[in-house]
Amino acid sequence: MNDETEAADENGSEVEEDAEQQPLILLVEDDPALRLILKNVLETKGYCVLEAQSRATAEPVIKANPGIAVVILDLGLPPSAHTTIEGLGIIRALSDDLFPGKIVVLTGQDEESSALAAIREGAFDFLSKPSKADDILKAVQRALLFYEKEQALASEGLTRLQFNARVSDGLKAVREEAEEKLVKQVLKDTGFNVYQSAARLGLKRESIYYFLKKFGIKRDDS
Amino acid sequence: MLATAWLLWQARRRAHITSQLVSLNESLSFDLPDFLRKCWKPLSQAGFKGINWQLSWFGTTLSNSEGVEGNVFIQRKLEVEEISLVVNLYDGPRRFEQRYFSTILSESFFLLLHMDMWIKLGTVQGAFAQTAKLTVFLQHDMKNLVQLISLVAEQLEAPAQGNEEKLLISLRAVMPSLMDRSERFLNTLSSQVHQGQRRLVDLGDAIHKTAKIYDLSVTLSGSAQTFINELTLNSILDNLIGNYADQSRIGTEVTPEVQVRLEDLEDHVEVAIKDSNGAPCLWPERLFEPFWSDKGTGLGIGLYHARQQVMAAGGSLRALAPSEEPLTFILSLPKNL
Repeated sequence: MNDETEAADENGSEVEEDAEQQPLILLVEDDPALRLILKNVLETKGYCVLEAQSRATAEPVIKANPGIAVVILDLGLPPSAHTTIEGLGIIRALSDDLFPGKIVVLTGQDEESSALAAIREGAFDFLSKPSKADDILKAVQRALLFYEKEQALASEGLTRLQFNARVSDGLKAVREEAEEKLVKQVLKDTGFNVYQSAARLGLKRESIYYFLKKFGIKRDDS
Repeated sequence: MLATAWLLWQARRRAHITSQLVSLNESLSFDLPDFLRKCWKPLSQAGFKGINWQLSWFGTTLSNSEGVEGNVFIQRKLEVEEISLVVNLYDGPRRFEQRYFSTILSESFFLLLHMDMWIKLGTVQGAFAQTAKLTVFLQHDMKNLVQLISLVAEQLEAPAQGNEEKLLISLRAVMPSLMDRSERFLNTLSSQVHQGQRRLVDLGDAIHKTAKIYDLSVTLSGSAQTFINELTLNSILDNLIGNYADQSRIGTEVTPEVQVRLEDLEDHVEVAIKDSNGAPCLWPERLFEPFWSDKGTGLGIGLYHARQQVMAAGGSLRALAPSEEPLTFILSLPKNL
């Protein structure tokens, strides 16, 4: 097993408690040399950096570290490093899982098409390679600011929902999308406690069961 | 009897002229404008009176006429994407078998013209598609290199207080990889045979080095050394292991477990590479076909290029693809002692 894989495996477990005060950043980049230097740049600014080199190694790191505030993501990842398939797949999976952190894309893929696709899937910011260290750090700071403020709002009971609405689909489709996201979010926040979720949403428990069935929400999804 | 002999002679003559046209077209590398310019001689031998043609060749109009024009002619309009052609083939008044022979020959001629158009179009479209793919590949690698160099330069220009030692450690780790990447990047651009001295290379070391670049976990057994140009070997392993890494991961979430067995034989060394977690190969017959890729995400020249280089080095590269077991590549290289 090589050094990079070892690094990703170590990150698969939760980070130590002494690092919890520092914002957690996940760096998903398949080029080990670039990953090392980027890690250096971020650590110098006091961030705690986790690493992954592919979608397969990123997913367990994200699951094991729910406090990840920002993901810096290269779209071109193995096994299809010259397309955006893997990177966009990560963004889509994170959006579906209501991942609270912010995704900053840093990629060498064609800017015009990949930026549009990344933002549509739910990326917070987009930087194309090569970018200056300062620009990367500023993007991370912006993402952190949004993350922290959204966390503060969440503690006040405000949930920020994000989804793409196609106007031509009409209000019903948008309402259903919003309902699904909101129910999923509240269930996630309550650890899938139906009683608490119903109380938070001002609904009867039966209504929550109705939504679970309607949207096919399962415990693992929340 | 005499009439039959004459008919047979006519048939043989036309067949010979058709064959001449085919050979001419082939000798001109199926180049349509060249073929049109030089086809008159065999056609005139077949008794045609004249030809004129107008070719729209990717926006440029070319035309020519030979012989004489007359009232009896066969006109054909051919069109393939950006290429269109109008040919008038002038013939004398022919009847019965003469008309039959004439029709067969002119239709064969038109078929050759149409074929040349499709060949040209296929070549152009294929070249464009490959250039686009190559650009994407080089762009990705080049942007990573430039990003790395730019971050390193920024860090060196204004190292953070107390971070100098960490920076130095990072640079020590990064620089060899940076050099490797640059060399391999140049290698992708160059299709030339590597010149220079052969030297004794430990195959295990070379495989580990390549596997590290591709983040592949490798279990090595045995050992072998060979005298070879190191750039050639790197390029072979780069193409082979790089492609193998992709192949190993198709349709699976399983991490590749590449097992490499090295064997030091009498006059050659043998390297067997297999991903024990890999899926069986569904298209073994197309593995070494240039510009063919199973998902459309690869250039499709890696394995072809590797085999060409191995053969140029006096070795062989083949794949064992049992229907229910993972793919195994067998690389054989002469020891050159």
